[in-house]
Order: sequence, then structure tokens, then C-alpha cells
Amino acid sequence: MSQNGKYLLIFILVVIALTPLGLIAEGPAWGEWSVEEIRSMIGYVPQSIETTKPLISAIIPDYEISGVSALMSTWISAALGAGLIFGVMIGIKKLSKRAS
Amino acid sequence: MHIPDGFISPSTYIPATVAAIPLLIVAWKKTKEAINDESYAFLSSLTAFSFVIMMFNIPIPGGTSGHAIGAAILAILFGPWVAAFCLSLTLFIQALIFGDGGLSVFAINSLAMGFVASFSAFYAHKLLHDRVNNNLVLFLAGWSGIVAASVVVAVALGIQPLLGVDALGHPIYFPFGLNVTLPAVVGSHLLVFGVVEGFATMLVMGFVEKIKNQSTAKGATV
Repeated sequence: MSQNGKYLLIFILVVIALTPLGLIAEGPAWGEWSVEEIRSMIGYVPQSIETTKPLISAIIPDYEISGVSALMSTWISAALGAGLIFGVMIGIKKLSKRAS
Repeated sequence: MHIPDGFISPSTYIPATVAAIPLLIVAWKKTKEAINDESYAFLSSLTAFSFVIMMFNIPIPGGTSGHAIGAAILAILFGPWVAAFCLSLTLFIQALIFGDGGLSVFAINSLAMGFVASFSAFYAHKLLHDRVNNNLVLFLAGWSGIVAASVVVAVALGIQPLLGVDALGHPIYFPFGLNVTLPAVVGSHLLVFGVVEGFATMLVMGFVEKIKNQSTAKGATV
């Protein structure tokens, strides 16, 4: 690995290690409320929000793995997301090499 | 700013998807051209950074939170198309694996946090570059990118009450209009999350420049 690659890898590992800081915020982003939160705000749940199900249900909804602590869930989610990105980018690099 | 499934009417997300597909194809092609053994380390780790930074939720008064997105860093280093692709990849993984943002409204999230944020940051940087202090340029590029994205999200959410009501007169989709979404979404990004994005852009760009200069000085490959 190049020297830059090493620095960048250390950088991303440090950022991943710090992700539990994001757990300090209890509220969701504005607008990204659950059905229950919307009901308590306006007294009803808009039809589409209540009935629409995700096209594909998430494997790790809200970065929380059931049966795993919030801390570990966050670390695993961050590492998984970052790992997938590294993997997809390797794939694109291979594709572009083959094309050229 | 990750809009979930069910919040947006098909009359909004279908045209958004039609608009996003050709843009994503161009962004994909530009990314394939930009990626090589040298750029790979920066492209992949800075895209991973954008994924991870979005997990740093910062609480604000009113019981909600938000985060930076890291779009400006990629836009300044690799151009707006590549940055838009990288952010869209991040958003797609967030929607597919973590249910953060809906897959049906992926195009809107991609247009806002991918394309609009990247292009705004890129042109803000281009316009201001060499005119004012470099750190200020980086700050403003980050700030303007995320604020521009927040305008798109606020408008997409805020027009929903006009697009469908049920028999009781209740909105079918997102229930708050522009008079609520603009101050809440854009206001919080102007004042808080834009500032966070600005500082993140400054810090990470400083780090990137430092390691790039170091390897150039050593005569090593980037």
C-alpha cells in the first residue's frame, strides 16, 4: 500500500472509531420521524406514510443490530458501510482497467 | 435529509427518478474515467468518510438532529460528477442496508445530497478560489453545498400537502408545507449543519493537501 493509502486508512479507521459520538443525539433528523412520532405531533398518520413499506427491507435498520449493543452496532455498521464502499470502488477500478 | 419511503408522492419521485437516471449514467462514466491506482485510495476513503460522517448526528434544539455529508471534499478534488456518483453510492448503501432514506425516493436524495450539493460546492469553490483566504473558500464550499441540498429537500417535502389529501382533508404524504419545511430544514442547515460541513471540509482538505504534499516532496507516487 502507498504511504498515502496508509494515512487515509488510518484516517478512516479513526473516524469509524469515533462514530458512537453520533449516538449522543436522541432525536431523528427533522422530518425523518417514525409513524408514532408523527401521530403524536399531528394526531394522525398520513395514509401513504402509514401504509408504504420499503421496497426491500433493510438488513440493519437504523444502524441497530438486534441483540447487539448500540455501541457495537454503530461500529459494525460504520465498518460495514465503509467496507462496502471500498469494495465497490475496487470493482469500478477493475472495470475501468478492463475497458482501457 | 434522508427522505424515507411513503413521504413523497409518486408524482414527485417518478419525474425525479427519470431526471436522475441520465445524470447518474454520466456520473458513473466520469467516475470510471477518474478511478485509477493513484486516485483509488482517495476516492474510496473519502467516499467512506462521507458515509461515516453522516452517522455523526448532532442534536439541535427542538428534539431533532442532523449531520455533515462531506460532498464538497470530493467535489473539489474530483469534480462535481464524480462527487455526485460517490455520494449517490453512499446514499444507496444507506437506503439498501440501513433503511436510512427510502429506496423509492432514492432519486430525490441523490439529486439533493449528491448532485445539488456537489455542483454547488464545486462552483462555490471555483468562483471564490484565489479571491479570498483558502480556508474560507473551503468553508463556504462545504456550507453552500449542504445548504443548497437542504433547499431541494425542503421543497420536495413542502410541496407534498398540495399533492394529495384523503377524505378527511388530511394530507396523504408529508403533512407540512413549505412555510414549515423551509425554515426547519434550510434554517437548521444555514445555521448549524452547514457550519459543521464547512469546518469538516476545511479540516479534511487540510489533511489531504498535507499528505499529498508530503508524498510529492518524497518523490513517491500519490
